[in-house]
Amino acid sequence: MPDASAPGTDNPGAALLCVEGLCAGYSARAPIVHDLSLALRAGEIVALLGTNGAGKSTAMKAMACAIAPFAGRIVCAGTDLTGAPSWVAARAGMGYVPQRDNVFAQLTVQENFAVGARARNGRDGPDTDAVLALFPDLKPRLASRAGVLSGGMRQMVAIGRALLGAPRVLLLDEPSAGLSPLLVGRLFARLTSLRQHLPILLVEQNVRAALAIADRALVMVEGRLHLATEPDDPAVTAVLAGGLAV
Amino acid sequence: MTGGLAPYLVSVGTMIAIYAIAALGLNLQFGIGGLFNVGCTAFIAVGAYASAIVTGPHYRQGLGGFGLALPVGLLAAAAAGALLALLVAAMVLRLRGDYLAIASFGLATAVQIAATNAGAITGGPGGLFGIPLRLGQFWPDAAGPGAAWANVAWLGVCAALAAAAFMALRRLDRAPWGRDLRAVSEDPEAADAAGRNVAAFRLQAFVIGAALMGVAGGLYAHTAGFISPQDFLPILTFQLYAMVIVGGAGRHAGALLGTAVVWLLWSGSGELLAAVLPAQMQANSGAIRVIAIAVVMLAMLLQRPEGLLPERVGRR
Amino acid sequence: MIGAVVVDGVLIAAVLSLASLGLSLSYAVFRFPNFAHADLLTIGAFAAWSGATLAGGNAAPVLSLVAGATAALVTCAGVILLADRLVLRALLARRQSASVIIAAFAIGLLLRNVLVLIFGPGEVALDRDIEIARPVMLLPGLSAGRLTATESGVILATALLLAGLHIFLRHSPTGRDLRAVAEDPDLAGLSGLVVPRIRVLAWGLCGAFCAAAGLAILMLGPAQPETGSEYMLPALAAVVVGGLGSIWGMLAGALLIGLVESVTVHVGLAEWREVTAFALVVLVLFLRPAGLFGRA
Ligand SMILES: Nc1ncnc2c1ncn2[C@@H]1O[C@H](COP(=O)(O)OP(=O)(O)OP(=O)(O)O)[C@@H](O)[C@H]1O
Ligand SMILES: [Mg+2]
Repeated sequence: MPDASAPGTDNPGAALLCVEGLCAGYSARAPIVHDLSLALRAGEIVALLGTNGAGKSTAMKAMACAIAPFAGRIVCAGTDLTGAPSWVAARAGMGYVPQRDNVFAQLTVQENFAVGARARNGRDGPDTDAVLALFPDLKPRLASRAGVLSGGMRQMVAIGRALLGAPRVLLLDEPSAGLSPLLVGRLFARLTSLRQHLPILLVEQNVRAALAIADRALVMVEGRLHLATEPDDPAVTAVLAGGLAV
Repeated sequence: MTGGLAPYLVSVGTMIAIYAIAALGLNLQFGIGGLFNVGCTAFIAVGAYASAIVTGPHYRQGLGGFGLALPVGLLAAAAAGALLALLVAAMVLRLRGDYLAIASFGLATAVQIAATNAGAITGGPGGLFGIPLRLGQFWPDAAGPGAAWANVAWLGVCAALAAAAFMALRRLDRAPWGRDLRAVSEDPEAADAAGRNVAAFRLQAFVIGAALMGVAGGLYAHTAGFISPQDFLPILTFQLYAMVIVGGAGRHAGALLGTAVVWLLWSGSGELLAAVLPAQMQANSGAIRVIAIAVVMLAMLLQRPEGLLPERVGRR
Repeated sequence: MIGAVVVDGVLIAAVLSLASLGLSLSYAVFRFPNFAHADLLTIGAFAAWSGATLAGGNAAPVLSLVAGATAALVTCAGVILLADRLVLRALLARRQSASVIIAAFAIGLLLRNVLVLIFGPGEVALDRDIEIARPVMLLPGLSAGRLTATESGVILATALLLAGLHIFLRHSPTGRDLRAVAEDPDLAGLSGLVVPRIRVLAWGLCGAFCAAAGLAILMLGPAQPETGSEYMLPALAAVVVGGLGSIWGMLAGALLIGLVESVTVHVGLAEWREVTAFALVVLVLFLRPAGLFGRA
């Protein structure tokens, strides 16, 4: 395990997110994620893959402290977040874009960003202009309610909201869901541009697009980490296709 | 046989039996069907007035003079409760939980106001006096030693009706109907997808529960001999919820147990306060009892939300 | 005649909006109809009466107004925050709306009967000079209804509070955070908002509005332990009719109910006032479950 306890280490190789032995779910009697360990280092994009219902979203929710884990440890940028409430995690630098319900529909785009900036906690990070430079399409819609925007725009608002909190790591749960292939390409190009400053853990159904930008691939099967490998390892697609490569 | 423990126990038993019928109705609606009816008093009140009017003499004020037999009165009470439920169901039952609570709360207020202001039917704020007591002409209980036995016989009738309601609900519960109703209330969407008619199940649970409340209202009218809008205040609904929740929402036996516990607490604390409070504070005993019940209820919700007799999981 | 109906309707609507503000706010943030709200209003009125009376009543009108307002504010906010701390918070965390509503019901009954224990079941009223109701000009030449200075003051204060709340919610960072928590507390937490702190703020605001409403109710007439309950149904009606969580919707609902009630009173059916409010709620819920102005 790389040392995660030294704060503010941005040198390549240091783990900014460190998860050990995570067990999580919605009822202690039936955990959904079992004994998951992973590390996310500065400068990398890691794809977390798995079939439908494998527990990817649940694992991510637990990492972001949206649900309390039953066992395990979560450390983000030197802060132990195990059992912490979600706002503590956000303020410690955990940027998280949930799979569903990831914008405040009644709030304007600008207000969504302003709420996101509440997580900054004194850190330096992108301001609204920087986010608008990343997603220029949002510029004319700053005063619109997020609820009236298209799915692709909402996804940008959600990512922008997370970025404005000046996160140290970014957890993205299926950012490409519902987007046209053209938009997926543009979005992922922008994600790669972030990687230098911000390591990303990426859950995706769009396996090919995710593997194309990922540095490593993790594959979950039935709540457990089944495979941790290079993105171009053919075993990844084999496992996802259903053949349980034991 | 005036004074003493026996008459007291008989009257407490009678009230428990009457409340139990209403609590069983609420348990069917809320505990099993998930229908959040905050207006129980509406159904109890129409039942009470219906039976009082149908069986009653000419009242000084209000509709009366039909003088029909007691069973007819109780049937009228059930019908009145069911009818009111049917009337509002179309509007209210498809609403989500908190809206149903608001609408039924409004219904209770509306019935209360109607009872107060439709004097020609209900006797207005003064209510109806001289409702045939207990078994009426079947067991006249003028004065004398017979009166005490009339009370006992009446207790028997109320308890028998409560037992009958309990058995019938248990039968229903174990039949496919009961299982389907629970499925509908636990996950309406899944039940809908499985082809259950969600609206029909809710309507049936609501109407049957309301009919039971109506019967309880009718029995109450014949126990007290006098009803007025003041007998149907929201505290009554609250007591019923206390009974269902203390007993364990979702189980018929829980409703019975909860009724006994809460009513003994209510009536016992009344007796206790009458004995210990100084005379000038006796006027406060009602308030103290309400506070006590409210505290018990809150403690129960916080510490033991499943009630004394929890719904058995995995019994389905 | 029409003028009198309108002026009375506006007065009813003003008191009702004041009484509904806290309910609307807590419904939006906590998503349950707070049946204890009625008794918070009553507590506001009784606390205001105690404060004003202790400060000398009619002998020192300004001081007693300030003392009454302060007492109402402190008591209402204190009581609801205590109820949140001891009961509601834990039940809300379980996300079972039924037990929260029942608990609120229990808290309301508890509070009401505590008031009975302290003040007795009778009325309390401010001891004040009789006011003269002056005609109100709707348009030049069209005068009809009459209002006393206090009644005009209540209408004005309601307008100011509504405007103030609107500005707070729409244009201040804290108000924006409050709206975010109301819409999606989970996402608000994940965005870094300290949700419990904002919920305490919401309850505090709710208590403050109850205090203002209680004070207004007391200034317009006597109060007794059941006073607040008389506002519960119309307040719920205003909130639901207007659409949950929308202040302007609530105001529109209150105006509608105020006018309907005023008409009901003027045609001589004063006792049936609450029934009309109920009929309105059911009708709206049936036709438009999101309320007249709510967004589904
Ligand atoms: N809120 C919830 N409460 C209870 N169970 C849930 C909840 N959310 C998900 N589950 C269950 O947890 C399991 C894993 O779900 P999860 O959403 O984590 O999977 P996933 O890998 O993200 O799948 P997908 O690719 O469909 O997003 C599923 O069986 C699902 O039914
Ligand atoms: Mg998922």
